[in-house]
Amino acid sequence: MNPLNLTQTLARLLRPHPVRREDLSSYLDGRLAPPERRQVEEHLAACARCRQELEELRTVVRALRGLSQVPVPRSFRLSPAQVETARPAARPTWAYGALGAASAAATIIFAVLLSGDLLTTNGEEEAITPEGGPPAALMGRQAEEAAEAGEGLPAEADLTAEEALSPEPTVQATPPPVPSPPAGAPPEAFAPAMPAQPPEAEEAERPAAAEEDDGGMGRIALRVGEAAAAAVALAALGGLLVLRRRRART
Amino acid sequence: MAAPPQEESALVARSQAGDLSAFNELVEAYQGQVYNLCLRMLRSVQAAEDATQEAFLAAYRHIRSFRGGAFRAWLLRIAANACADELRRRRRRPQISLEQASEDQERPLDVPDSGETPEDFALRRELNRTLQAGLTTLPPDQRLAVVLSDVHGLSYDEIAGNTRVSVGTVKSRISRGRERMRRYLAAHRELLPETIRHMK
Repeated sequence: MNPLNLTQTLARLLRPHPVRREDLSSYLDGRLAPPERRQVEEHLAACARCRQELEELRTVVRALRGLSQVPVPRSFRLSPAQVETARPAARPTWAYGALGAASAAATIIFAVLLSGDLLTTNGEEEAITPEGGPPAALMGRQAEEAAEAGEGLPAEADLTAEEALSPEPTVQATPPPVPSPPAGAPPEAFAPAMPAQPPEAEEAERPAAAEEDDGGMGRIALRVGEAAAAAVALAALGGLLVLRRRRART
Repeated sequence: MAAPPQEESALVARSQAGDLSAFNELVEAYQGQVYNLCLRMLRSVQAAEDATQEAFLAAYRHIRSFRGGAFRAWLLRIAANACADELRRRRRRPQISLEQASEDQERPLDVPDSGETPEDFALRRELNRTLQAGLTTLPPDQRLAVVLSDVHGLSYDEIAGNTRVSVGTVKSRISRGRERMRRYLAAHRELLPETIRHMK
C-alpha cells in the first residue's frame, strides 16, 4: 500500500466517529430527533462501515422479531385452590404505622441521649482532663478510626439502600463496652477496626477506668442507649423500606 | 391471542371484582407471551413454567393495583420481576441453574408449524437456537430490554415504566444488547440461514 494512502486510512480510522452506536440503534427505531436523524443520515451517506453496521443491526432486529413463539407446555389458568392462597391480602397499613412510629420515637430518643452525652462529655473533659486526658484521647481515636474506616466506603457504595439499611448491620452496631462507635459512622466501617485497637489506646483507657465513678458508668450506659436507639431507628427504617419495595414490585 | 381492548378492560374490571373466570380468560390470552418472556430470560423450561405461574398468581393478587393503561405491559412487568427473583436465587445457588440447564438441553422447544417443510423447520429451529444462545450471553438488564423491545414489541416508554429506569437508560441497554447480539451472530454465522449469513 502507498504510504500516503496508509496514513490517510489510519487518520480516518482514528478520527473520532461523529455517530455513536447508540444513535444507530435509535435511528433504526425512529427515536432520533430530526436534527440528529439528519446528522446520522449525512454520516451514513459517507461512511461505509456505519452503513454495514446499521444493516447488520437491522438484521439482528428482524431476526429477533421473527423469533417464533414457543408453545406453552400447559395451561396456566388459576384454580380456585391456588387462588385461595393467593387472594389479595389486605395491605399491612398497621405495619407501616408501627414501623414509622418506632423509627420516629427511636430517632428522638437517640437525639435526646446524644445531646445529653455531648453536654456531659464536654463538662467532664474540662473537669477531669484539662490537658486532653483519656476521654479526649478516646474521642480523638474514634475520629481517627472512623476516618481510616472511611477509606473502605467506596467499596461499600455498591450496596443498595435496602442492603445498607437492613437490620443486619445494626446488629453489629450494638456497642462493645468501651468505646462506643461514633453515631454517624457506617456500622461495617468501624466494626473491623475494633479488634485492632492499638495497645497505647488500651493503656490510655486504664487510668480512666481506674478513676471511673458513677458518672463514667452513666456515660457508658448512655452510649449503650444511644447505639440501641440508633439500631432500632435503622431497623425500623429498614423494615419500612422492605415493605415499600415489596409493594412496589407488583 | 390478546382480547380486543374493550373486551380486555371488561375482563380486567371483572377480575378486579374477584371474578376468577374473567381473570383466566386474560391468562389464556397472555400466557404465551408471559411464558416466552420467562423462557427467554431464564432459558429453562421448568424455571420458565414456575416463573409464569408465579407471575399470574402475583398478577391476580395485585390486580386491584392495576390502574389502567396497557395490561400486557403491566403483566410483562410482573413476569420480568418473577424472572429477576429467579435469577437472584440462581446467583445465590449457582448449582440450580447448571442442573436445570442440563435437564432442559434435550427438551425440544420448537414444534413444526402446519405446512412447514421439515427443511424449513430445521432451519427455523437452528436460527431460534442460535438467537436464544446469543440472548443468553447478554447481561440480564440488556437481555430484558432487547427481549421486551424486539421480541415483544414494547415501546421505549413502556420498557422504561416496566423496568423502572429512564428512557435514556432503556435506549442505551437496547443499543448495547443489540450490538452484542450483532457480534455474537457474526461470530456464529455458520449457524445462520443464508438470508442473514452475510454478517461480518
